[in-house]
Amino acid sequence: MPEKKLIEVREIRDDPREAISDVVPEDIRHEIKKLKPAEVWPSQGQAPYRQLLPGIFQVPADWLIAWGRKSSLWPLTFGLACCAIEMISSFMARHDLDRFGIVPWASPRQADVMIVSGTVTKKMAPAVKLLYEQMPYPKWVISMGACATNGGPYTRYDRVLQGVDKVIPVDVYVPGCPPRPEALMDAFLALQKKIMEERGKIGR
Amino acid sequence: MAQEPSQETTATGPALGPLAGLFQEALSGVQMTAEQTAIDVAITVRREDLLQVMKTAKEDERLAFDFLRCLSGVDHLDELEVVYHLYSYKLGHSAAVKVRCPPDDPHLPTVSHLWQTANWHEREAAELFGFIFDGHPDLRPLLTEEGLGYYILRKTHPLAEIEEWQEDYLKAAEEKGGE
Amino acid sequence: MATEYRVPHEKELETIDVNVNVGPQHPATHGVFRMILTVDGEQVVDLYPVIGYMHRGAEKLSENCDYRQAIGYQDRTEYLGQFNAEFCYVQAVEKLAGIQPPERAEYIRVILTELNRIASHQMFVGAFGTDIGLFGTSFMYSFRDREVIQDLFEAVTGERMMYAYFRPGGVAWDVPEDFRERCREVVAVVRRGIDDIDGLMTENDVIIARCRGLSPVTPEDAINWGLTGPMLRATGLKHDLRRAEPYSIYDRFEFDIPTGTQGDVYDRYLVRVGEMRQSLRIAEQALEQMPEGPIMAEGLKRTLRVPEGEVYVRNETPRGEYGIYLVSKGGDKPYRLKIRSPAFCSLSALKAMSVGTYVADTIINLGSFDIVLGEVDR
Repeated sequence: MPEKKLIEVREIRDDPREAISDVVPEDIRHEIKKLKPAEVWPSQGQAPYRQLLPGIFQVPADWLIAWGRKSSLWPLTFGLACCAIEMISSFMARHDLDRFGIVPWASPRQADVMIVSGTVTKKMAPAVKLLYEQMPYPKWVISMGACATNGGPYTRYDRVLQGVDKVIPVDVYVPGCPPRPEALMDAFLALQKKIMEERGKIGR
Repeated sequence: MAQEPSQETTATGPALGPLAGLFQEALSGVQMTAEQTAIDVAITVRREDLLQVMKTAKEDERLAFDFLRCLSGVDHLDELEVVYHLYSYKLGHSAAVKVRCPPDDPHLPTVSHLWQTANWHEREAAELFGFIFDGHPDLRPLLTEEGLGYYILRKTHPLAEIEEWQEDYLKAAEEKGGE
Repeated sequence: MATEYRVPHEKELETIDVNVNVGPQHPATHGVFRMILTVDGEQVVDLYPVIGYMHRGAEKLSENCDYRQAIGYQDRTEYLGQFNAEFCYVQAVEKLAGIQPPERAEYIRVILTELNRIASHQMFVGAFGTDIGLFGTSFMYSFRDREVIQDLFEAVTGERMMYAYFRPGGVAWDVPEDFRERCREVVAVVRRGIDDIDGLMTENDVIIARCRGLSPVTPEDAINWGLTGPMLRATGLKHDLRRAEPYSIYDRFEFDIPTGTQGDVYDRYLVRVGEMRQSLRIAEQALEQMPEGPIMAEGLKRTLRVPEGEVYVRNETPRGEYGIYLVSKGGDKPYRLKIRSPAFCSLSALKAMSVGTYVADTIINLGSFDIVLGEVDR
């Protein structure tokens, strides 16, 4: 992967009023500030369950675990802009996403999917990166809307990040401005298909 | 030295509203030009008189502008301009006050002690155009990060180019996959 | 031997003020808004708001767009009251160019704008309930009505959000033939929906206990801080731009102006629910009076060229006074398009209104402002 400097992203400064939190100690705070280009999942060999099970059980275990993961994807409620309204719409009674097991969850520590819905500005990019890194593996990203895909209608402005895939890796792109709730459901179904297809190969 | 409100606008454009007259009465010593925009009357004053004009606009009973609606910066290519839109809840009239300054000396007095709402409006105009409002309590950037170094809404600042990096990356990935 | 132990008075305990970062991602910040609260125990001592995470440059990008292309940016700036923002912009262009839209177009605009106001206030009611603690229930009720209204808008314009339907000179195309009946059905359904959510939340003891008396505002303070719209009317000042500086055909309709008494959070909620009912009245009256006829002014070229001039047009949007200051130097692109955003001015008052309350109350206070970050940051 080419080691290109993608964009100039402002780092969080040491002004106490711009601190992340008083509780994070000094050295970890510096690590969180450091931004690296996006890397795909570090493949540390095979997943633990594959190493423990004898050969004949690995394939059904793959299927079972992938089925479990795809059937209960919990998205991080990360509504940035106008697409957030359509995202909320798709969680509500008419286009119900709960029937797929998709329950919006506010904390990144327990979320599986991050739906980046809305324009990511260069001021917001460190926060997006931080949230992505706070999610535990396995995690996926859905980039919802034109703004998150490539900057959208705001792409010619200075302070807009032209696509969220400049800071985090994206699995599914949903076009639209804003995409209909049905399009978001289609994206989730595509993500579920992707999870089933790559079972056993991802090292977790 | 009082200057007549430019009456020649009656020939070329709409007639001036009564507010121009009120401004003239209340600020007799101040040099101003008045013109009629599509809805309000716009008074152009000089930089030095701005604070006096604004104080009078707020405190005089005939004007009584207690609400600063909007503070906009405009970049005319050889000058910068700030336009203040005012409204009076008591008397129900509205007007605009404009002031110009050269782009390399963009100092203007602040009005945030008269109307608290000007606080954030001035911060925004300062970071997007480069104004410096003397006397403002806290002139840090509001919408962009600190230390940006350029003023985005000036006409000299261009639009961003579309970064082609995504295409290069996809091409490189294809070539790698083909090997 | 028993040692004497005296319970220390709370003022003798040594405490520190903690900085709590209510960061850009938070289930209750209504968008990417960050506040750094300095908290003493549970009371907020200082509040430092950080905005700009959604600064996308609609103003600069509109300077490089046609007058018609810039309508799309207005939708996305105020993304809950889209027709209101489009209406304001389109009026500004019409005033500068001297275009008068035909009657039918005016009536269509007013009907759609008022229904959009209801949709936006429903979103507020949903989010307000969520902030207080009815997590999800109030959203379910309010989105039921929003979906009905959005279905009507989809039949008229083709889009669920971001309509870009108003044009300088009228509207883009005529409404479908069954618009009147459909609109009457929508009005009836929405009326029942407002009654439902009213019954859920207005007399609710928990909401009254939490919101009554929380951060009251006097009218003088509100004017000083630049609050407009429902926040100003909640303080008791009966001022509505549709009455005070009437634009378009609003002087033909009868509607009341709901006001509050103290300007606290509960009053702001009541004012918005009242406004929803008044919007239904306006929509019904407009449906009765709507004539047949053309929907676009005659003789407009495809590329609109607007003569030199400037104008500041203000509309009453669900958040307050939305202003468009348009400077034109001839040509087919705006020279400067400044958006006066009501939520921006409300947010500047957040610190003064929240200091001294508890952390949970600050969240409700913020929710009662009904901010839309697209318009705060533009």
